[in-house]
This record gives sequence, C-alpha cells and structure tokens, in this order.
Amino acid sequence: MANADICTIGAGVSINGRVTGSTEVNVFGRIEGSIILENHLLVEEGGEVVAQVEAQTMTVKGMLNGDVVAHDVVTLAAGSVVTGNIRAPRIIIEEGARFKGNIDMDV
Amino acid sequence: MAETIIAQGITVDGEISGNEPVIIEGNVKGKVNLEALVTVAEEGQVEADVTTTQVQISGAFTGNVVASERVEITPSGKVVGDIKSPRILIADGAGFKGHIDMDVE
Repeated sequence: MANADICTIGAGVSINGRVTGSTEVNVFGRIEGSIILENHLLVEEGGEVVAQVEAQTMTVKGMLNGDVVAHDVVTLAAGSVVTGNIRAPRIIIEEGARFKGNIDMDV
Repeated sequence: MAETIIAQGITVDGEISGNEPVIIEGNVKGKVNLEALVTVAEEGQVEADVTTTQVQISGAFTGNVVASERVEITPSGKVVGDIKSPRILIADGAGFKGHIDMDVE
C-alpha cells in the first residue's frame, strides 16, 4: 500500500453521509450512510456502523447494521452484533458473535 | 488513543459531528459540527461549513467557519469563505478570501 496511514473515527465522533477511499478505516465512533473502501474496514468494540458497506476486507467487533459486500474476507468477531446481508467469498463468524441476516458466499 | 483522523485517500461526503478533535488529511465535503479542535492538515481539502470551538487550517479550505474560541490559518493554509470567531490569526504566507467577523460573544 502506498499510503500507510490509517483513517480513524474516534469514539466521540459521528459521520452522517458517504465515506469513500483507499485507506484503511477504523471506526470507534459512528458512521451512518454508506462506505465504499478499497481496503480494510474495522468496526471496533463500541463502534457503530449503520450503512451500506463495500470493502475489500472487513472485521466487526462492534455493531453493524446494513448490507455488506466484501471482495475478500468478512470477520464477525466475538462480541459483535450484526444485522444485515453479507456477501463475500469468505465469511468467518466467531463464537460469541451475534448475527441476523443472509449470507452469500457465492458457492 | 483513538483520535479521529480522516486520512489521505479518504473522502467523507456528509456531516461530521461530535466532541473530539478531528484531523483532516483527506477530503471532506458537507458539514462539520464539532465541539473540539478541527485541524485541516497541509494535504487536507475541505469544502464544508464548520461550526466548532477551534479551527487550524494548513490545507485548502472552502466554506464558512464559525468558531467559538479561535481560528488560525497557517502559512500553508488557503481559505475561501467567511470566518466568525473572537480570535482569528492569519499567518504570513496564508491565503484568504472572504469576510471576517470578530465581533462575537
């Protein structure tokens, strides 16, 4: 990756609208709207995302509400609460994760 | 630790709100409604109306600023828009076009 920087949304900050780009994004706060990333999206513990998400890879440790399309792997970590439809070639649901929705691994 | 950085390569189109400092190195369009320091870094490009306590601009900024404490435009800052704040600093080398109103309480 040409740019090693990480985009962080702090716990006290919320974004309402569209986030796009090619840099890794870590969400400790809240994003509402849509996210289109050519990189990794991490929803941290305590982070809240209510959005349509398109990303290369994605890890959820917090709350996610919305449809996800990932080009590689989606991980729902222990403690995450996810509602929505996920489409990705690889999807990992860890023990302790809560999920409601459809999964499409295109098999 | 989790300080908010809109990194280079990221575009935010919409509204950013909250009570923690935000550093903008990428692109922001729309509205910023904060109660903390907003820093537009040298590489940052902002087209937004900003309402907050403090603003420091080192990048390209288009829009109106209302800051309850302080606004600083550093030597690399380029600003087009109106600024309303009790304390406004424009450094040597900075570019500014617009209206300034320091008459606020």
